[in-house]
Amino acid sequence: MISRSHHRQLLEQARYLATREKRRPLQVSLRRSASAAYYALFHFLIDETAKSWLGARRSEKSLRDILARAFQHGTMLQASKGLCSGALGRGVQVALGDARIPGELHELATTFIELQQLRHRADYDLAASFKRQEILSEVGRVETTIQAWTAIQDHPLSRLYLVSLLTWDRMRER
Amino acid sequence: MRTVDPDKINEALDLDRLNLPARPRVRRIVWHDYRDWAGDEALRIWALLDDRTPDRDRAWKRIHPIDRAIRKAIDDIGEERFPYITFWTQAEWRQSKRSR
Repeated sequence: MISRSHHRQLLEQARYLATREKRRPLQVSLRRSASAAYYALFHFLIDETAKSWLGARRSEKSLRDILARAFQHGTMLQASKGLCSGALGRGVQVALGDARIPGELHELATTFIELQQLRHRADYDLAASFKRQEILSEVGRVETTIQAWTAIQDHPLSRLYLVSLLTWDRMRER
Repeated sequence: MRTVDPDKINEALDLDRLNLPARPRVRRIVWHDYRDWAGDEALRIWALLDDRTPDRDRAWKRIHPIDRAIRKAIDDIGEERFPYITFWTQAEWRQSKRSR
């Protein structure tokens, strides 16, 4: 499993790339920065899920590594969209009762959706153009979102969200 | 997925109705129908900032309230497509149109 500091390293790399050229940023630098920012959030979420299921000890690392490979970008996207739109299955809604989605969790899912689309455009849409401040803002957005996680990580909906990142296709109908 | 009439979206995104913070100053909001990489219908929205906006006012913590206000406005009218929101200055927008 990628160490917990991996997402921090990716965010540092994202900032470095976005500010690498002092005067006129190269599009290739901004594109790689956007991609690094997305992958910081991607790996952070996978890391949190794997630790919550398998434990955070060093001795459990190899098991977390195996689980990490099971995550798919598309499933994580749809789970995030499902949370944002409230499209949880009826059974899940009944089980959760009156629990409301914490604002920080909604923000996290929204950020994931935005950053995945940004990453896709950055990596594949050569007609798109990016601005330095636009990308730096998105890097800051990921940093803020990750910092806010500690306040909500124990909320039942937060734990359900992590589960859904892997199991959304089966969960959405429950 | 429920989509809302474009006129209602224009109304919801009217700067006089959005109650945005004074800084950074949003000069114009532009939007169009969009399809994201997953093939889902969505909205693509640009909040165009004043050209004199300093870099520090473009940090996420400063534009987050604007982002939230736009998303709430879209949500309040019942629009279910996800809004992808980008913050550029008006000059960046014009430059982008010229280079196409």
